Amino acid sequence: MNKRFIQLRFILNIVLITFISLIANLPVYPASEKESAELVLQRERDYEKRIIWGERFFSLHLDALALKQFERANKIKPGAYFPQYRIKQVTLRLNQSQNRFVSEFIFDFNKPGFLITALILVIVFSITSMVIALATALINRNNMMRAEKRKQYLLEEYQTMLVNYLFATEINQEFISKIKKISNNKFNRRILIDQMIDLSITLTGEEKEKLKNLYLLLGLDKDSYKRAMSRKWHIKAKGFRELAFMNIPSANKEIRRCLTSRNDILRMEAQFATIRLYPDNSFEFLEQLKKRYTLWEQLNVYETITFHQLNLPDFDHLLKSTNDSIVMFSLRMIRIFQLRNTFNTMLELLSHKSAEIRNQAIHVMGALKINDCLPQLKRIYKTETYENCLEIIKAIASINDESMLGFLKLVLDKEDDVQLQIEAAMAINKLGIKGSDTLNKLLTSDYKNYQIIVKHVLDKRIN
Amino acid sequence: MKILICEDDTMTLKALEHKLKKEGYEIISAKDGKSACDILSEQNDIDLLLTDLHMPVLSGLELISFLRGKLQSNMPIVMLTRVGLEETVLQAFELGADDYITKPFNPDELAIRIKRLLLKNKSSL
Repeated sequence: MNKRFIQLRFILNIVLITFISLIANLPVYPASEKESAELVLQRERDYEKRIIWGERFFSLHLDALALKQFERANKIKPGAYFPQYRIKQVTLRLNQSQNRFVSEFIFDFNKPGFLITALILVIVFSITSMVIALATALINRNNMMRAEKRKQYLLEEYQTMLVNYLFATEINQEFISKIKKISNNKFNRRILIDQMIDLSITLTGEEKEKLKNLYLLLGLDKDSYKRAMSRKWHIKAKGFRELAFMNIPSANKEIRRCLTSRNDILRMEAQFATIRLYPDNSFEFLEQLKKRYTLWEQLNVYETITFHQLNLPDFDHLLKSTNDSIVMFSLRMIRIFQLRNTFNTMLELLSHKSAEIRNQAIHVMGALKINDCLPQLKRIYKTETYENCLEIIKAIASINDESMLGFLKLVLDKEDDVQLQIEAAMAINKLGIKGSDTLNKLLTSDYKNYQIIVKHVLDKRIN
Repeated sequence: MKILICEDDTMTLKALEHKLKKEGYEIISAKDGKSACDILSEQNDIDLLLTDLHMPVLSGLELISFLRGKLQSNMPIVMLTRVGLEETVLQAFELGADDYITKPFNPDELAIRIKRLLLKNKSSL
């Protein structure tokens, strides 16, 4: 009975536990089985994790890592189909990569295929472009070298031909027909023109006339005219220069139009051509110029005037220009060419609104040693700027007139500025014996301490 | 008569050579002052030096001073120069140059000047 009761009780316990487990939604295992169920769950999670990582590596083509993950997954669930399938795929890919080591080494960046393809295309395109550019550069260089060689050869030939022609006593018809034949080619014509321009710069007289006639005979003036009418400024400028050197006034309108060009070089070439080609009104452009006349332009015009020994423009008239830079240029030219007859207009400039022009006018009067300007210089001294006062003293020193001794002593006495005092003392010293006597008296004078300044001026090691 | 022309510009050199050859002179040419110095040191039979003032390696002034100083030569010297270089010309005269002509020059005028100088030199010897 007792045994039966125990059996019954065991069965009832099981039923009770099952019932409670069902209610609590818990697996119906005894304590030892629960542990094993947790293990199963853990393995399930581990399997899933391996599969997820394996898939990630697989998609990134990290095959070795993917293989490891799938092999672990396969160990966890030996019978599972998916890891085995992936293991086969990965192994296959790994085998292929080992067989194609070099290509894989170059192309396998573990990136998606389309990116690799795009990169490969970019690289191929770049390399192709580079090769094309290099080839083009080499071909160009080769062409340029060939052209240069040809140019050198032609230069020699044309120089000899031209010189022979110029110094021949009779016109050689054979030469004319030969050179005409040569000048059919544009490249040859270009070299021929350059050589003729070169010669025209060097020679004058009969030979130059002969050269010009040949230029016209070969129709090279048309080439120069075409260039002068070109839209490109640098070609136009060259055309102007050629016409100017060969003295051909065919592009008159265009040259005059470019006198007010914004392009400095073109404007300068137009000015040069105007001066060379139209001697009657060659400097008319100076009166019309509204822009600042740059120092570079001034220098060019000066060089043209001296090199070609041209007649000087009416600088006296140009001193009245409203363009300050033209006035400055005129003053500079008056000084260089010693044009003393412009004195009256220069005097007027001493009351010009621009201090720079007044300064230049004072400087020019001093350089030209115009005594008549001294009373005017004395008069304006008080109202002038510091720089102009210095220039006045320098001009007085340059003119070197004894009548200015009193004024110079006054400057030395009244001025506080040492530089002005030094200039005045130097001007006194330049006046000869009278000047040096005055300075020596001042040196011993107790009236004011001039000693340092006078000593400085009298020191022959310094001045 | 032998003339040494020292000029760096090929075109001018050719023109000078041609003109003076035509006038009956024997021509030796140099493209810079250094080569001219070498020629002058080696050859004693040159009658006149025609030199540009601005040249590479050795300038015309240095060449004149070499000829008058080191070589102690009285050979006539004619300078070729540009307009506006009066100071350089004066310097060259001080160094012992005899005459000068400015570029652009008239070849006939040059030939006459050279002829005159050579005659003068011949009569003074």
